[in-house]
Amino acid sequence: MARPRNNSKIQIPPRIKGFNPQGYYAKPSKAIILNIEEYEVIRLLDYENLSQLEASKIMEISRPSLTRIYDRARKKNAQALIEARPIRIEGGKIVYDEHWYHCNKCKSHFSNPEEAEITNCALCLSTDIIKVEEEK
Amino acid sequence: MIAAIPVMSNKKEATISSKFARSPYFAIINRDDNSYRFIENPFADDEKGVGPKILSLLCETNGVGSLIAFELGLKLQQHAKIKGVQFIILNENNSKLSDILKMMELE
Repeated sequence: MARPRNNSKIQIPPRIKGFNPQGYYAKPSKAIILNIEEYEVIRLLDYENLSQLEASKIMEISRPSLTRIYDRARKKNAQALIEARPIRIEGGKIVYDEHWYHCNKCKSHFSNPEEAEITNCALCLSTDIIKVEEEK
Repeated sequence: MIAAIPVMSNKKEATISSKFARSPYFAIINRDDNSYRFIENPFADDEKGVGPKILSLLCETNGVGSLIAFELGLKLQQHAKIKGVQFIILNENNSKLSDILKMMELE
């Protein structure tokens, strides 16, 4: 049996939950799910212009695993563009590099470099915050 | 807590810059005494290594402990993490410094 792949390490949670096509009635049931690890691979390779080897070291996965994730991500993006389907960014076998929180009031994400749990938003001080959960 | 926000000008109505390290100005917000001031970015037009230089200016010279932005470059992020700096990633609807100041109850 093949060894299970390590969880991909993610630097920052995505700012948005997805995209909808313009000028087209997007059916939520037809949405394409882009995993957070697939989003992170696109960010590191195509936005930060890293090599596959550099990106695999940052995400703490093997280079062949990264290539497979990238291939899946490109196919999903192409399918969404051509078939005018919404994209939802969620899920994946991931672990965050730091503890991240989301504020339901100001909608910002913030990290917590301290060990202690926090109860208020770092920006608006609202107590309506949730921990960004890792998914296995 | 002292936070830094990348802004396009040194005015309260300034737009928040989408590029952190190459932003022309930074608003330095001190939450302890509810004050803010602007500093110019001397490295905005440098070719290379802007992230670590601006991080040293913000954290070591100005005592910044939080970076507030829409997006942070990977290198700057990695250097900031080593220094134990907090990241605050903004929502798209807050495009002006005055929106952030209002949210932080500084005006």
